[in-house]
Amino acid sequence: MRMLVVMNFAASLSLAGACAHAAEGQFPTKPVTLTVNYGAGGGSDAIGRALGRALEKPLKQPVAIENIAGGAGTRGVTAVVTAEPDGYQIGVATNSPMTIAVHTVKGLSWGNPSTYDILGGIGIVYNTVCIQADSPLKTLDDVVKYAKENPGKLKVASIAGGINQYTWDAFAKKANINVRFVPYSGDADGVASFLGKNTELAALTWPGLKAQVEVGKARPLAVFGPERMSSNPDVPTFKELGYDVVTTSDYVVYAPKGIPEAKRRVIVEAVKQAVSDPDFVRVLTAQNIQVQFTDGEKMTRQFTEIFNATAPSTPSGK
Amino acid sequence: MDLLGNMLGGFAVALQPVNIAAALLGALVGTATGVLPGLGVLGAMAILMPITIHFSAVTGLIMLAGIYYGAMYGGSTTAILLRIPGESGSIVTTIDGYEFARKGRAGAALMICAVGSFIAGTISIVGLSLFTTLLADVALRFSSPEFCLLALLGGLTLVRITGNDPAQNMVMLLVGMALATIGVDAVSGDTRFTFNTSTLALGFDLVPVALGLYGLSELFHVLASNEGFPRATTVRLREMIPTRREWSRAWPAIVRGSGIGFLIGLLPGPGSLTSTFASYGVEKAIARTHRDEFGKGAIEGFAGPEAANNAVATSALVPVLSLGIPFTPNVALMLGALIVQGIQPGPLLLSQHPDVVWGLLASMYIGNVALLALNLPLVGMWVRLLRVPQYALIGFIFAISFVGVYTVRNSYWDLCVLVGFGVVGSVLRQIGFDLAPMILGLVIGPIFEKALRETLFLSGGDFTIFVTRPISAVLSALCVVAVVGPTIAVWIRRGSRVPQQS
Repeated sequence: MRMLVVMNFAASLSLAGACAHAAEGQFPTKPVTLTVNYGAGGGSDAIGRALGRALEKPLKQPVAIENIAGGAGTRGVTAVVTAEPDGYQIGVATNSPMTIAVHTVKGLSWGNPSTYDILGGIGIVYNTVCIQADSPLKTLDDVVKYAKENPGKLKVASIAGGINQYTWDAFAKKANINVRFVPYSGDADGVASFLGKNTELAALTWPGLKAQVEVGKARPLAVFGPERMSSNPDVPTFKELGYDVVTTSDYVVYAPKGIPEAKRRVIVEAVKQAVSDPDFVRVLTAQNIQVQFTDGEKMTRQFTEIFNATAPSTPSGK
Repeated sequence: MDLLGNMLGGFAVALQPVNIAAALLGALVGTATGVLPGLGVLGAMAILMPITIHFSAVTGLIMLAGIYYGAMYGGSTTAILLRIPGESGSIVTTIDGYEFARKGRAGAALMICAVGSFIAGTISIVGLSLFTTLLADVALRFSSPEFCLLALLGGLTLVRITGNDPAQNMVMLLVGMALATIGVDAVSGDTRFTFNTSTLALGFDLVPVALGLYGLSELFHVLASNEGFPRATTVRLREMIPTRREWSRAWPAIVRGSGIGFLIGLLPGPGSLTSTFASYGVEKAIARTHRDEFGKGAIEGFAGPEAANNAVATSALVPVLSLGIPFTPNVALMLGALIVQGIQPGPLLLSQHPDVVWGLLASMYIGNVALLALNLPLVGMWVRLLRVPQYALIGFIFAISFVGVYTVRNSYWDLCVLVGFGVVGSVLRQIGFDLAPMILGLVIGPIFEKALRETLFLSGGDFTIFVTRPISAVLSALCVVAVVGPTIAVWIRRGSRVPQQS
């Protein structure tokens, strides 16, 4: 009799264990929210929606897209990193709001990359410098030489306060040139101004300029990536031309800090699968974004580097 | 020749049953979002975009375009009937469209708007099909210095848009511009006037401000007074059809509005709003015999602007189809629908995917006809809307406004702005201020500031850039005329005649 009780007890214990295990394995059991930190329409939104669809297969739950725009992209990040770390709220964003705008937008409840959890990188955007196709200056060396002889004469269309400005400034400092920096609020404005021949140069994203390169309006001088792009191997990198400036804009999936490890593993695994989903690849490739899963730890290191490099020299108490 | 062949090819695509269905669905959804205040075009497009992935690229694009121009059709309905703009592009229509309706001609006003939208849509599609590439090159000649001067010119001329004292309007314009500086600075990304709060970093979005100032304050007004909305006593066919005299005044305004809207749509910025102000300003300026009617129900005062915002919806496609550069979020979203399908938008779109581009253009002809066919019978229904008991109607509009505003950015702050500006609007109306210049300031303020700063970055701080570029020089001259012109006109009048009260 006692034996039976013990057995029963053991059985129920193992059953409970199995249940707990099942519950854990069953994450997620309700729809997951994926926050896009820009409004509907535009590159980030298209990527967020494609990622959401690709995540639905491995997660076996609907993924709701939530657009929280504003605050130079920081508001969406705030919504994610201040959410309950239960795995049901994740976000997708690039490094600009998280490493650069974070220094200028006041009143944020988060700061350096240790205050949130990067689950992994999903795509890499290269940044490039192009010149008017009909310019007599053919190569980057020509441009640097001309800029040194004529300080302040060349103009470059770029984007203020983001990775593009940071990258351009780093290059201009290394090359020791004085080029007039004309900031626009996005790729569209910058490309339009460049096409209207208001500036000789454009330091923007490769996705923004590629189409103009293809129709022969813009000539790429180099890209700021770690190596040449697989899609356009003829374009050199700044690094190989002797200017050691290596930055990319990276799309990452991130979450509030403190998600239980088991759940976190499920999401990371799903993100890994999503990145190889053909539909997802198609959407990113159409925007000329290199699709690639990068480990969360590596992305955190990369983000921290830019965060520190762009921090104001006087500590602002963050 | 080639164009004809392309167009026929386009119609072959557009006339496929699935594409006709997509155009109709888009137009219907668009009309509904246009009619419902607060529910924006962008929101509706964003909600339907994921559906487009299940269809071909051209079908998805046709549907999204249908929503866009459908909303421009529908936006005038509540503006005319209830003095509440359904879209920001219909704010101007609340001035004369509503007054016209109060004369018992609500049906006629709606019909003029529907036909006007159709004419504007058709004119601009023809323009789009014939001159896309050429127009894109023209658009590129406009850059920051020109945008800055256009915004300045708009501000200087449109303070005379309403009957009020221009100085009073200028104050409202400047208040609007000042409000626009709150939040994240578009050039540097710094936050301004936010008292270190992330809430104020959101700034004042156009949708809650416009809906508060116009929609909520109107509802407060109706609740506070016994006047109520204009009542539709009878809805007979005879009263819904505009008279010949009304038509003869409406159609020249429609044609002018189409032209103005088409040109403004080529440039960045919220063209659907600015074009309506510009059209209203032009109509008032050139009016000879009916000038004193403006503000009291002039047909030109709503026929022109309603045509203009429809023309914008079409010509805004020019930069995107020919250059791959979206100037407005609506168009960016349409690009998104292409990207999702793996089609790379850009200058090569027309040569690589002619079926998509020409199919879209052809579908717009069909969509416009469908919208006209859809909207004319609806006129009677909308007018009957006024027979809904007022308590139900007001409650419904309150609810839909709150939902609509919240969906734009998922923000409680915007709801506070909505209510706050409802109160502000009521007070300002009571003490006799016009609200239109404030909205205009909120819209052109950021354009002006951003363009001015970009220009000075471009020129290295040199202001002569405003007169050395040919288009800028012309615009600068016009700005000077706008400032000194009215004064000189007064002098001339004083010299020749006995001074008269305006």
